[in-house]
Amino acid sequence: MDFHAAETLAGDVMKDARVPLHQLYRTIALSGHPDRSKAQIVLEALDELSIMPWLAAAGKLSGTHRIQALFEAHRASKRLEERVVETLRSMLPGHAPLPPPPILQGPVEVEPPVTRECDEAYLLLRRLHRPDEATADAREHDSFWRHTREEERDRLIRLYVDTGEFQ
Amino acid sequence: MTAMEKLQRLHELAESDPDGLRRLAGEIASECRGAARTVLETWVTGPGDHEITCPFVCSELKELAVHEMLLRADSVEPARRVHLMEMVVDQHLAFRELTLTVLEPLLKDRSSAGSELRTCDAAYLLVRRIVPLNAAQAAHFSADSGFMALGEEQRDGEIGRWTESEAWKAIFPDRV
Repeated sequence: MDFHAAETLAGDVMKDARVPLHQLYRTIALSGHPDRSKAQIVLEALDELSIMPWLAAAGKLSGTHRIQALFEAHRASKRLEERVVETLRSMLPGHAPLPPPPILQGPVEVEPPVTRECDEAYLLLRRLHRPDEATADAREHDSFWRHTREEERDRLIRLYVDTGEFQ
Repeated sequence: MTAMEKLQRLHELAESDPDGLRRLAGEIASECRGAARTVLETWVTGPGDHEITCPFVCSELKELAVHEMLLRADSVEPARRVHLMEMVVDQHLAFRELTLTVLEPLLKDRSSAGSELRTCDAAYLLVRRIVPLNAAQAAHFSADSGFMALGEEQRDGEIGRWTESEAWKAIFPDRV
């Protein structure tokens, strides 16, 4: 695969697709802009697409306008998180084993542990719950999890579903 | 519709026309997300040799792909769903990191942010909403309303303790 070509393509697409978002950012970043209030209404309806423009505007604004932009970015981010958590929780009943990742398909020296949709969803939920955990600690936990007995993993998933707590 | 035409439409719409403004938002959203929609469609329905390229491009499209990946997650097989959700979670955490990076210098900004609130106070309140604490850590800091009831010096003291806390330093380990 030509990663460089794919990266260039994605970069070009992003540059074009972000133009209207950039214009909205410029409109809200000027506190005296005549269309500022309308641009805010439009941005609020753009959900996760509004996060970057709000954050960029916060860098240009001051006082209450800056704080408002930061809180709007946070609100949009929270709404996104709620959607993500909802989707991940809906994956927790999925016990079908997943195929190994493409890089581990075919003959390998050590078979990777069998992992299920619910296991991976649980690990992603845990990542969201502990976003500041050191990368090495998180990796160690994930590896430990994948080598834990299935019954124990099911028990911990049930515990999370019932209490919202991770062990 | 070009970007300039959209800007013109924003200008022509009245602030008292929320439906018109939301329609415009819908068109902008659809356009911004269009490329990701196409890439995901190719991944799901196209030949197997797109199995690496398409997710790579989606991941590169960052915030433009999040909504489409969440939508697709409902209708693909489990392995792809997991892959999509990994990318969505990565992007969400990138948003979070960026927000905290913007907030960090504001914890020292004592300029007014309206009424009794200073920029550092508002930034602190927001940071506290974003950074989860365990019960032991949380016991050292005020809740939202408690913090705002403190005097200015006490608030400065709490913000100072926060910036020295392990919870905060863990977010920017390279700066310690």
